Amino acid sequence: MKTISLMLLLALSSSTWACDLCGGVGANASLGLMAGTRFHTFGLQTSCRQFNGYINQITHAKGYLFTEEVTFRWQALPRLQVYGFAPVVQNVYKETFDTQFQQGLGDVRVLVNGIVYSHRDTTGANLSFLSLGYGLKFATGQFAPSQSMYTNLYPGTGSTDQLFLMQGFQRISSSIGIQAEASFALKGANNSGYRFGNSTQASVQLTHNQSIKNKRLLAHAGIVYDHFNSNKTNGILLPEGQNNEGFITSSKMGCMLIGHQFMVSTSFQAPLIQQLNAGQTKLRWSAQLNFQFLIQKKKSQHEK
Amino acid sequence: MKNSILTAAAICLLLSCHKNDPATSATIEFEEPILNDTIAFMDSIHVEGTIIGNGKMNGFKIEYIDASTGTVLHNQNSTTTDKEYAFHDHWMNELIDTTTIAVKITVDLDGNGNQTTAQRNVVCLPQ
Repeated sequence: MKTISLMLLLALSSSTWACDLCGGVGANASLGLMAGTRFHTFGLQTSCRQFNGYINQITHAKGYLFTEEVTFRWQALPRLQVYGFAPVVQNVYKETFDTQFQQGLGDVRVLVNGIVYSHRDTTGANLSFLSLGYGLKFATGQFAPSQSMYTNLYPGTGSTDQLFLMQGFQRISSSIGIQAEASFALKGANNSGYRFGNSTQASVQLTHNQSIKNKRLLAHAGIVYDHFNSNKTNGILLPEGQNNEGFITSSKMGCMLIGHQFMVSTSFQAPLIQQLNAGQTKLRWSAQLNFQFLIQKKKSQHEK
Repeated sequence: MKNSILTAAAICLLLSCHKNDPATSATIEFEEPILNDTIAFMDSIHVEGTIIGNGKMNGFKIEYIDASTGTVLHNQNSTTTDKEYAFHDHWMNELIDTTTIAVKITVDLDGNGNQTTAQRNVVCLPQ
């Protein structure tokens, strides 16, 4: 039961990071309920997003953003974890007369997450918890040269960003829980003076789990809200329609399958209401696939 | 009830047929460039706007024309069939003399030679 509970918490978790790419997508962090477990993990996650560009509500461009990330989690202390993400990015932007393509190593990110409150039942399973995280995004990816018309299309931003994260979980019944997260990205400027706007993300998801033989299948659905401040050059706001300011409210749903030594998950996100770049950019959809090996630090910990 | 369904089906059929009618006219609107704008050497002419037809159109082209000689210096062509288009293009000014450039949009309305055009002039400056 304790093992299942821990596996369930891990199953509830998802991990998504987004780069400052097409359409003002923020570099916010989401660790889900990973904080409630004590596994080391190592794996690969891939995501795809589509943004369209509009002139007077008529589509003139389609952008497809692909990211594959090698990820790890190191359980440094019982209440402290270190996360790492190393992305490779391929971005395509198709216009009527032209197609732009950029690819390469993205910006590497490292995050430290600490559990500040945890309430467990007699079996050791989390009833509720709260954690706080802090991270850095490094300028390891190629970024756009100054005066580039496709700043958002490059794999990196050229800036070092600070990431702040808070997450919580409350179990409602034996099979249903509610997860909430909030994160903020404080963004720096690159050496061309270009600064992506700070971004905020908040999400709430309901989760449901069930046992299938010796595995767990988990379904989750909820709402994600992203807000993006204006991009600037040398401290000056870029003109409306070019600064990526705005918000996206999306529905999100997905499922996860957890075995003894692995976790595989997929999720899909569709916008409900959005206003980006004065209506000139819209997120169409995004999808993610995640595979993680689970490594127990100690047998006793897993059973705790 | 049967009549209602038949009427609805007929309306849908008529509407769908109408959707595929070739355009007989189109409205071309420039967002960019600004009329008589001056373009510095090695800057690009930014062309942006929309085309809305009253039916299906057979594509459009953008031409950069030396207004004094009529010579087409560069062109882009789209053959996509649609009822509306948004166009966006850039062309670098590498001209060695001051030249008035006509940015001309030509819409192929029906594939039978019927066209609609619009143009906007800019002045390209040399180095």
